[in-house]
Amino acid sequence: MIISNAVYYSIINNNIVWSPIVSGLYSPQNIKKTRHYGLESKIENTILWNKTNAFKFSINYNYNHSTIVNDETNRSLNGNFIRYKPQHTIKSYFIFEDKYFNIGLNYLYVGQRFTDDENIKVFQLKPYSLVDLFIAFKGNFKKANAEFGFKINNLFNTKYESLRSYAQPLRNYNITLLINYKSKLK
Amino acid sequence: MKKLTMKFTVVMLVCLSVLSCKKEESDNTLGTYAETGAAIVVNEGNYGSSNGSVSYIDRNGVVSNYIYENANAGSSLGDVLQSYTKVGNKGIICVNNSFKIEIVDARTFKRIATIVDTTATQNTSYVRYALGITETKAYVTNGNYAGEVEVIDLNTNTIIKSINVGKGPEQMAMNGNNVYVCNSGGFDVDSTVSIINASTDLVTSTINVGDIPTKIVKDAQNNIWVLCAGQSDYSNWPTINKLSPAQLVRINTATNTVDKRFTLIDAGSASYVVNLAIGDNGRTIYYSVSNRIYSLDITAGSLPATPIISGRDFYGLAASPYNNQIWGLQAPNFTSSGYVFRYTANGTLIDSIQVGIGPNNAIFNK
Repeated sequence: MIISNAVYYSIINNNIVWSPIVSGLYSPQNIKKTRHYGLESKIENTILWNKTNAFKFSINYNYNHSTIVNDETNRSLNGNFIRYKPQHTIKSYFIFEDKYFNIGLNYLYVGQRFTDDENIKVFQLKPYSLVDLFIAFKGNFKKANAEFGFKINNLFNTKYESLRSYAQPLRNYNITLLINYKSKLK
Repeated sequence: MKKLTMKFTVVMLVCLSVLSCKKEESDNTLGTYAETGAAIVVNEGNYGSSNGSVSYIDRNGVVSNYIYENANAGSSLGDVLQSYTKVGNKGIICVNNSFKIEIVDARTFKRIATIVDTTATQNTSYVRYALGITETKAYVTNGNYAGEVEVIDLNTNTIIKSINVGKGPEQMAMNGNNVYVCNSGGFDVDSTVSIINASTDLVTSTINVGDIPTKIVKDAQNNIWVLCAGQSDYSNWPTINKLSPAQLVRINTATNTVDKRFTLIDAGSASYVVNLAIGDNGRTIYYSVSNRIYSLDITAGSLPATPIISGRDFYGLAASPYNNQIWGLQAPNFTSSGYVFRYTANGTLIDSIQVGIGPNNAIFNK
């Protein structure tokens, strides 16, 4: 079991932030002085109960508090949150591994985000959770290893936005076929 | 004791039901946005950013921003919110770059219908301004080259007819049965006003006024004043060069001819003209040239020499019929909130009120 925690605190002068300006275009903006602090927490483990079966999981929690300390061009923005920075994020996966297949899920949570420097409430993006489900079949042959995967992204058909007024994909499917040829080194 | 408890419970229940009834009532009368003398501020928002909004300022100057979003479960209006017009109990919002007309309840700002029409002859591709003809009929100007006036049936909330006018039709004013439409040229040049008979929906005449007519008001003597911005050369931006004069002209509605003409800016000047408003019950005209606001009595024979307000660039100008205040709408940029600067009738600053992004006008409820 791995448990790790990292705490950070930084003050940045002349911080350049990539943020959307118009029509979904990102542009670097110099927003003077900003402060960032937070916590990155991680729990990871692999439980083996025989040679071929295992359960793996990883949970990442991120707390971030990023604010404008001083904006020379508009002091009324001082103390506001930096746009598009969620305060809470959870990223995790849970996988069961067998000799012939892997099955698992991803879970992602992104907290609410402001979309502008003034932190206008009505333009705030709502928090969202996403679950992806996947299964992969594995085959070990003489000359190659093969893996056939099937994944359902956004299992619960959640409506969410990463960029304001741009809808993100609903439930979608992903099929992969991976073949690795073995070659003998001479 | 048990009886008493019963009684108490009954009384409590009655009280609760009365309270809950009251609450419902207050929900229904929440429609204060149509209050006489209060104003609806149109905030354009940033082009392509879907953040146009509507603010409400009551008679005491208390502001409520984002009233449409709050009344409609957070849904946005879109962007380049060009205008708001109250017709009866309905509000017509023209959302230029979202190619649509939103019809709302003027009291609550709850959405009633959205008009999006993409047919070739009548459409909402570039909607600008609305005008109420009757309680159930409205005109909306549309188009940046070839221009049209769309006739809207407010019973069905659909476009029922389309009237061809000049290029880039903008604001309209009505006197008697005549509707005067400013043909601004849109992305081209026009210098005419179309006159439409509001009962037949036909253009009866087209008169020459001056280059780029954009704003129009009706005065207390039932005459029509048109602000012609004049052609401008922007190739040396931020320096502007006027190619033709900006003018303020009066259309005598008895003869439908121009009978008064004032030159606001001469050709060759770097000044710019943006705004026109009428106050004092239709007796005083306010217009702005660059960062100066002037007032003109409708009977005056010449333009005033000194402005009543100066020093601030305003994106919009409005005059309150309720208390004769002059409102300057400031949009410092189109990514952050703008302000309404309120002045007394003689130009003394009262206060400034933060509104939405890019405010271009305030419309006072009658």
